[in-house]
Amino acid sequence: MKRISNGIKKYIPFFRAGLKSFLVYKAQVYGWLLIGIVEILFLFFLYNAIYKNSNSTEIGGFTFYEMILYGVTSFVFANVVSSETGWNIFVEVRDGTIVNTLTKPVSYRLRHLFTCFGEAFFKICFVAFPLLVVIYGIFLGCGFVAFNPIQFIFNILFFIIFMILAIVINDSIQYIVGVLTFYTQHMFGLDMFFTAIKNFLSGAMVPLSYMGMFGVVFSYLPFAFLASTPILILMGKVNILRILMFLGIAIGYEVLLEVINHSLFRHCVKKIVVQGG
Amino acid sequence: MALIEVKNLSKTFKKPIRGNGVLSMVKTLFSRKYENIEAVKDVSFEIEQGEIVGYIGANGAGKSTTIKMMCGILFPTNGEVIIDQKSVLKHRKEINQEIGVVFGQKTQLWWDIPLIETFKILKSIYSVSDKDYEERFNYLCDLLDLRSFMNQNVRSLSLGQRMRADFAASLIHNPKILYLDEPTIGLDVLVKDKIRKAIKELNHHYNTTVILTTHDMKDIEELCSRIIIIDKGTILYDGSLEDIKFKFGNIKNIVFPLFEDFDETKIKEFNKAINIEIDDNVRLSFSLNDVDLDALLLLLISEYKISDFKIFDIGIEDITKELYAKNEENK
Amino acid sequence: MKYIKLYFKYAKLSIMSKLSYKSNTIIGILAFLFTEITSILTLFIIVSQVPELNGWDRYQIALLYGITNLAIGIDHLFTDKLWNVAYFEVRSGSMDSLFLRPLPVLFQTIACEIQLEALGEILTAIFLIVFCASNLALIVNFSSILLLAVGIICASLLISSFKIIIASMAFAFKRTGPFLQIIYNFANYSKYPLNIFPKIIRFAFTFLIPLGLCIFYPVSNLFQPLDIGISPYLLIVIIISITVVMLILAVLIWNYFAKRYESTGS
Repeated sequence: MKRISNGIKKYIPFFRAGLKSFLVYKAQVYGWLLIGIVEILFLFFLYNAIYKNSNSTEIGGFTFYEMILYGVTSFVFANVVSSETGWNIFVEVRDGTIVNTLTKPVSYRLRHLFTCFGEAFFKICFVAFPLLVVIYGIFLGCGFVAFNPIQFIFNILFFIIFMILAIVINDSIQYIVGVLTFYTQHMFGLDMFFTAIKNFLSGAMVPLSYMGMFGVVFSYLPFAFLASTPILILMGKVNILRILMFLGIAIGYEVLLEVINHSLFRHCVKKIVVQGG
Repeated sequence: MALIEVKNLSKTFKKPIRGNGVLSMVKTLFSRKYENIEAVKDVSFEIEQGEIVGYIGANGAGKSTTIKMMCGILFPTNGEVIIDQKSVLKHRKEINQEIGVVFGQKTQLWWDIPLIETFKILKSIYSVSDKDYEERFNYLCDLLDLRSFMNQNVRSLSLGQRMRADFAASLIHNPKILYLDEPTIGLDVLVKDKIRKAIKELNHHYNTTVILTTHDMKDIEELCSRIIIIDKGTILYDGSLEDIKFKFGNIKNIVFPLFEDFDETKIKEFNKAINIEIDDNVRLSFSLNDVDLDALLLLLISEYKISDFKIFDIGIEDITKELYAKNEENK
Repeated sequence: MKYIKLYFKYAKLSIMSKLSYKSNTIIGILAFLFTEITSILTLFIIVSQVPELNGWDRYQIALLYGITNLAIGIDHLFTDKLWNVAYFEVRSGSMDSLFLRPLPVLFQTIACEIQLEALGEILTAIFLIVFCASNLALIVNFSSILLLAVGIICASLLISSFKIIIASMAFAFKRTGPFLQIIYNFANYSKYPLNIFPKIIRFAFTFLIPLGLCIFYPVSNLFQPLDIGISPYLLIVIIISITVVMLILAVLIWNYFAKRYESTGS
């Protein structure tokens, strides 16, 4: 046990570094909030028109207010489930500083994961948590949506678990993207490519239930755990059996991703050694 | 009239105060305090056409800040820079035609394409006539030995090649003034030598005025007839290299390898004015006004049985150290 | 004349640079292509939930989307460097070299980069336009096509103007990228039929950020003649005048802030 706690202690500095790097620019937080308000405003108008033009009050299992709540939650959630790991690795590869970090007795993977945790921790405490409390307060208070109180508490607990899993899975995917830059030496396009896939397949842009059969298939892919599944759980749209099943699937995916990470990294490190000199 | 006039130049930066702890960083999220940092304080000097001036100082002394103000890309808080009787800030495009700039750590070359393309586009940017371009291009190629890699991508050049190319690129429009900010940083001895020779030759050939900042004292000793020493934003010294050497002259250094059970007491008893530094070597420094050199050498040979030693005159490096130290004391 | 020649020289070097990283340029183009395809799919999925959106069917909506994207893509192709100015170049001091050349800084900023990645956007837009047009009965005549062409070009120039204005503010405030992002996101919503928005937003898209004026009305004009009380030709004149005014304003604002540019201290 002591060994584990010592092992973790090594990574605390990286956690703090991640925390600090996000704190440096307050403009970033304000800018993001402003962008969010604009996005959500337009989302509201768009779905308002959609629901007005529809014959039924529910589309894809969502009422209008549920749809807006889904969109808002998705936007806030995406901020938490984001990782700079790919860019950090890319910058290290480009500037050659990766050599310094590889010679230190810390796991390269864990180092980046803890930096990501640091950033996420800040975002959860100072951005996501207060925002979600206010948003859900408004939606529940005004009676736009209704939840069973006891079930809602359980949903929140499961949501937190799935949120942590989402952060880890997302960081693993970012790590793969970063390591791929060993080959491409270019990040922007690669990152954009993966972001596009992620945004679409995770249901961050539009709920998977809008997509018919495809949506059902997508909900079992790892991307679904980055937005759709956690948000649906928070909104009480998933029953307990399916929550447990999804938990197993998510953990399975994470293990698989780490195995891929590990072998990909070992393969790519050789490339650095060859290039060096 | 002098070519460059720097008048009462001052620059104050506002720097946000940041704490170290996570908590204080959260605080800066909501409010931020600033402290004023005076990078350059009331600096004045004039430089004539054809001079090579060394502008030296420790890191953060205000060298780059001054150079940037002289280029017109940093605004003085007070004072002004006048080149060719034109204020740098008011006549940017005209002044730019007259100056060439090399920042040692940033390249101005087009990074991903063959070097020759950079020269071609610079020709258009500065509206250099075909005839002038031919003449200068060939001259610079020979001077800096650029031809062998003229068709290579810039990103594949070695640092030394890139530096030489950068140097040539800043001269293709035959500027009256050349600013060199640490032009020899990170280069090996051979390349440094080549660049120094080129600067001298160029100054001779085109009568180009050169202002260079550097940490390499050999650059200064080989190139500059005049030096300006700056520390904490103020000028400590402005004059010829000989003068300052003379002022601090009569200082000698004796260096010999450190041996086991070396005991410095006898030297101290001999004369207290001798400054002793010990690392791998023992370094004695003193002024001939205080110490009799012959007697000291005799002591070293007879008492310490030292046969392998070197005697140096003081270098510019020691002088700047002395100056910095004195400046500290005065505070 | 000197500047036109110089522009092509700069452009040539930029394309040479881009082609020296062939795989990256291709990844970049594919990335934009893919991003566009996913957002078009998203739009299609949303509007397919209802038969009609305030009188617009899904092909009409997609056509509007494609044409707006074409304008955005054209701007992206030519003025992408402005993003870097707004986000990091002022802060990092890498604008210095531009201020050391005897040329207007705005000219250098725009000329030094042709962003081939924008081809991903432009190609999907063209494909979408062709696809939708073949599924719709459009009113095609001289005035409607001229109005559309002018609208697309002017919309591009308007986006460029806004980018110039906000990027130039970075000279004074160091970093204005997030605000540029906000305007850009805002502009993105002019891809939807204006009539689903409340009056105030419609007003904004018509007069404040006149993308709606440049694109929404010319596209509506392809489905049924305009009923806004002015002829297509008058609309063309209005669009061109607004664009010219905005461009002049952008250059003036840029020059004002560029005078305040300072390098970083160290």
